[in-house]
Amino acid sequence: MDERLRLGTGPFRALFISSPGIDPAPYGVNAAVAALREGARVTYIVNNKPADAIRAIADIMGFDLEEWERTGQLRILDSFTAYMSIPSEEAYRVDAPQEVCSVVRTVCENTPKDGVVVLDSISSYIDMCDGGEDEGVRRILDLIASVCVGRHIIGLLSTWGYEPAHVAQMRSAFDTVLALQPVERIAIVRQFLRAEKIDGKATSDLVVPIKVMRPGGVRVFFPKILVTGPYHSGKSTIVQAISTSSVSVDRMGTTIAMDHGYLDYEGFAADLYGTPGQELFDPILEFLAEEAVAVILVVDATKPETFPRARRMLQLTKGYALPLVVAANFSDLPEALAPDEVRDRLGLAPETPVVPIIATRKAGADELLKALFALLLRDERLARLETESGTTGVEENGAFEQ
Amino acid sequence: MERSNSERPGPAGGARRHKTGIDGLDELLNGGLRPGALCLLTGPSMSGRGTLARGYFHQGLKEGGASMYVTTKNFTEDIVALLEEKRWMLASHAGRYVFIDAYSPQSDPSLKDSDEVKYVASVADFARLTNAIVSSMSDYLARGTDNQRLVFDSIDTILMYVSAQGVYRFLSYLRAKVKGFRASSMFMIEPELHDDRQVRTLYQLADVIIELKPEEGLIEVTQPGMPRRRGAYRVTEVGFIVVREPID
Repeated sequence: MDERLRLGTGPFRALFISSPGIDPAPYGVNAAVAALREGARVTYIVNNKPADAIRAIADIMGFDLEEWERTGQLRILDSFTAYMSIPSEEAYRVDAPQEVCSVVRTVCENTPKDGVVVLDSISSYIDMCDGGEDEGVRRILDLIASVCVGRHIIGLLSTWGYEPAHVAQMRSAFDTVLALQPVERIAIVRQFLRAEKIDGKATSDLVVPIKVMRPGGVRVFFPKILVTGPYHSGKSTIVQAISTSSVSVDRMGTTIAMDHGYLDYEGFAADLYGTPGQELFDPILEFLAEEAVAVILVVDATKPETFPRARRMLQLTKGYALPLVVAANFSDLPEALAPDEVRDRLGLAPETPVVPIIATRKAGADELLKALFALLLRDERLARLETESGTTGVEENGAFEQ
Repeated sequence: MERSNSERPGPAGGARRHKTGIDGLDELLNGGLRPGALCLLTGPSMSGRGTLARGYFHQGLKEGGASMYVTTKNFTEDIVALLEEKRWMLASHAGRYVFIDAYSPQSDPSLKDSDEVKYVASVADFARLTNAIVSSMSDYLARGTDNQRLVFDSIDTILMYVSAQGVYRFLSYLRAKVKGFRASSMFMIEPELHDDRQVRTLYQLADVIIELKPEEGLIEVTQPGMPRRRGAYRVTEVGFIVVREPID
């Protein structure tokens, strides 16, 4: 993900723009922690809740901010308490949050030229502005322009039915815009992150399902990856080999229901579902495969005679329609076929990744995951799913009569 | 799916209305609040607004539904004590109610969420506040409880920190959610505390307005397309009573 979002040289301006049902604060905290881990100085401006709330969010996500705060690498700037007309106990605070110059001065005093500023939240700044939406937008754009000289800035904006022109202005004030969007039925069932532009260039091919893990932070999350393949090809062993934790429903060493694994790997998370391989379970394969977003097809590279069965399983699970990676197991044995030959004999497209693997020793597991996630990040079907998602329930142009 | 009595289709085929549990008021409301309704409950402080709202909250639990109570100016424990004062006990309704407390964290930021209480650090944090409400509604719906009601106590606190425009946008979103979940809701507001124009703007969002006039002992119900109805009310030891004609 970071590879795709790698920004150009010089200060960056990134905006997380979220539908109202999604709380963007964990994304701000996650971005701050990522910058802190890179050694950057971070100023986190919080203007709609006490600074302690940010520490609490970080704590729930499994991040300990104490050491970064103690050394001054992280400064949480209380731009909220003054609204409440109560004295702030924070070391870093803005005394007049309504005044742009006061905020800018305090931020600049606390953030070096190459530092990172997280602005949580732009929407609250607008909502709490005594001059209304027009004035709020004008002030926040002023603030961003002034703070941004030489500094990186990450903004959080919830789209509470603002004037479309104002939202457009916000979007253009940032080089990178990442939209956090829900898939809603009545409730939010899934969240997606969609890059609208990266480093000033519009983009449409980066859409990933995303989840805030507590603990764990923000992860690109694939809710269902299917692991299927012929009987005794090593599916359960592969699920165990690539999972952070797993469980198998088996009888006398053979999977009779399914394997389940949870995988946490370099910012990605996924739930893995392994199918049984015996033909007698074919009637349930279709149901096990429902709503899968990708398939790992496991084959025994020494037994090409099982490949027709592998193809049949791909048909039953509708795996041909999904991003597909082949795990060629038992690749250490002398009679194992080479990856190209496995691909040919399976009749798969030349671009289908075939990864040699020795599941019992976890050899090749890393390459398998890299191939899988690279494929998923390129998958245009996710983009289509995202655009088909439901509405937020808020009119884009929330009518307001004065 | 568990379906409470109040959600069974009524004689006209539509979903049953959500009774407030106050007979006279339910009569003024044609049987209660319609599922999906946003009701503004207005009146000055000490007028009995809270008692009425808490009765409505508890009535939902008595009917087997789920109730949510957003508090922006009282500790959850104080709300529970006020409920118990009227013998509206919660013990037998575990798992079907939640308090969304945007007040207590101001004095103790270390408070952690429990099954009964979700804490929101500030009323101005609309994203977190909405998330707490909507995720509660989702949880109840997922468990098959579709007779849901929401008390929001109160808008006054939010209007102290956020512009009327901001509050309007926030309530617009919540209104859409309340309708989506077929919940009913009561949002409390004390009009005298705010600019008249701000209040009138918020009135546009209401499906029902219940107004308390304690000086005259009157309660008025306004619904679009219906004549304004009024009755007399009194707060008693055991709750809130309303009759269509003045008591005295």
